[in-house]
Amino acid sequence: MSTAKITRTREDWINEVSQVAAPLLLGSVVAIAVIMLNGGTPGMFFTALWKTITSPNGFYQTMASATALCLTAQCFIIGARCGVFNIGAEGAMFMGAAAALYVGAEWPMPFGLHLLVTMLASMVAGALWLWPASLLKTYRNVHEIVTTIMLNFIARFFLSFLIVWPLKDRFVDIGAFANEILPSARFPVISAPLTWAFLLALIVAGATYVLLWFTRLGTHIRAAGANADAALGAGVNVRKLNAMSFFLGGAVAGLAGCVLTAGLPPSFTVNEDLSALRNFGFLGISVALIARNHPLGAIFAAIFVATVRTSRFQFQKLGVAPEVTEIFIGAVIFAFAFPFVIQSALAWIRSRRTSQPEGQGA
Amino acid sequence: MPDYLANLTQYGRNRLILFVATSLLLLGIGIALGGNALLTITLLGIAAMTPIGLAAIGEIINQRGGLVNIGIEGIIVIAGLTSIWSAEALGDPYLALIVGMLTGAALSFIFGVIATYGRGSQIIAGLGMNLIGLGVVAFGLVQIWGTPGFHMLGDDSLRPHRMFTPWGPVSWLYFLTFLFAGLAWFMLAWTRFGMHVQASGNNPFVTDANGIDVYKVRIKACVMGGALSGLAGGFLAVDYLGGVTKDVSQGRGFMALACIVFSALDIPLALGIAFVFGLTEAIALWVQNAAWAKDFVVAGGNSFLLMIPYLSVILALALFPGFERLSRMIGENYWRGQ
Repeated sequence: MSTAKITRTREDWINEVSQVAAPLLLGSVVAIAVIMLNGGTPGMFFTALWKTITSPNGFYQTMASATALCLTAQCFIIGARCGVFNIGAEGAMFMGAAAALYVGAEWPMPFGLHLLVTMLASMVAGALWLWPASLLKTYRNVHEIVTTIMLNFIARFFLSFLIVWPLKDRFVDIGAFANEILPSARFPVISAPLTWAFLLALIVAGATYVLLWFTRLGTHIRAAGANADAALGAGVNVRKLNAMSFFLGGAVAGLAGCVLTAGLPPSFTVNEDLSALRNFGFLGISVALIARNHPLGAIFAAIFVATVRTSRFQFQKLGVAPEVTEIFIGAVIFAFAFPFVIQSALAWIRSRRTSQPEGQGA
Repeated sequence: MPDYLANLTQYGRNRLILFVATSLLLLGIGIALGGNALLTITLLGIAAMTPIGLAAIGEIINQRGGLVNIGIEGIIVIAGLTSIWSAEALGDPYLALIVGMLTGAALSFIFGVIATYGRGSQIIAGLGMNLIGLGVVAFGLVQIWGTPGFHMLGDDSLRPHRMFTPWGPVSWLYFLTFLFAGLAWFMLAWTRFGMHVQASGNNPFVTDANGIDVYKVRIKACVMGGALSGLAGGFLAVDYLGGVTKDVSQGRGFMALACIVFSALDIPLALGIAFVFGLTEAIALWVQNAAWAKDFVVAGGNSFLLMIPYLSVILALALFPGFERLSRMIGENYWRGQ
């Protein structure tokens, strides 16, 4: 395979980096402003983040969350590379969790095999869950945002229905708890919440990268995303690829559901409220945006977003409302919407720097 | 097929199908449950329709101008928070609704500026708006009242006036929805500004060449739409629920988007399908409170019932034939001077 080598100048690199750095900076400014509204000091923001990543408890918790975030981000990335705005990771993740809870608890099997079957079941459940979105996009011309959001809500209520009724293990004061997954279907534990599931996330990220850049299917996917008309003219079946991206993304997001149930130590169970699972799909979108839709970049972006998510405990300790983390992530995504503003700001700075010594003015 | 049926436009055909389907649904409910239950469910349905319908009308004005704001969910929740806050601070529900509208207008003004002058991606900006909305409401609840999760209005006089009928309360905001629908239709079809809005949605290049500032028209349409979404949030918080919760809108903003996709920017069709969505919500509510379903609900059917409105959206989108008569440049960026 011969591809033209793209050389990047220093300015290109500055552009690329600033595209990520500027939204993060803006988000931090918003978060710090909110903290100061709350009666805190700007230092609290950095203290909370730093303490989260350096304390052993926080570190393991962060890595465990990052595992799932990396997987849900791949769902968005595969879609985005194909020109599909697939935000159905949340729903596919819920269905993957449902499949894992059922297969992991009800079908006893030997150790390694059981884990593999559970993972497979989650992937199939996630992939099939996004099928309606793909069908409606192809045959009814409905934008996938509407359908995937509706599927997310349906999946959420469906899973809590399953946990309250067929998959119920026990009732306690705060609601129903789901079936315990058998030890044979669980990932081996490293320490507290972190298990070897994180290796799976790394493998999937690598596989997505190879798929998108080094296979025929991946090249077609990227062609369809870059210019659907041109790809169609070149004989690529864009509709089929759109459906394919839904299937692949759903499978990966389903795997995230498996990681959040079978991939956590036995003491972490899922209750009817689904608080252990919620929002991972949406945070996956922010991970993908911070990673500029690159599968390998998503690993680092996932660690960053997971740090922010886990830092809510530290914020609570400092006496700041933990919802500030949600505002931070939201502001970062909002800032990703206007790269043009950042670019023109950069150009303005550059023009000042070059023109001032010569005395030409801006 | 008779001539008057064959000559129908796509809009007319879908309006007819929807009207017949809704009537059959209501008739079925009436036969199965009796007249009193029918009226109760219909009133509940109109109540549930109001926020969806208001947001849908607003978004239709917006999308006719060419911008797509998927952040109405975020606008609804933030407007809900501000309107509850101002209802308590100002002591008047009507001022609270106006504050909700102003909140929506301000937020969509930001969105509009980013989508035009800022050359931003509309989808990502809307998504960010939704996430910020959830964060702001959760944060504001803790910050203002110190109760995480929800806050209810203590005093019933802080809610807008309602007429009490034997089948349930009737808020005058229900009628306001239809009034706004009529006004929006009139504005889009019969005024100079409405023409400008449609032109900037269909062909911004020619519109710009004719000396109409596309950016300003789009921002104005966006602000109008945002005000209606804000009113939807205010209604939801001050009138419908009498309080604000962490996820007060429960996907109603996205249901409004589904109405728009379904109706292809036709106001009567959007209101009709919003009524159907509201009706499914009402049926779920009615079953939740019905005596015969008590065992089922307690055993875990509650979540199953909550699923119904969202399922009905998918079904409605799947069953009706899709057709295209959207604004031609919808969601596409138009940047002057390029």
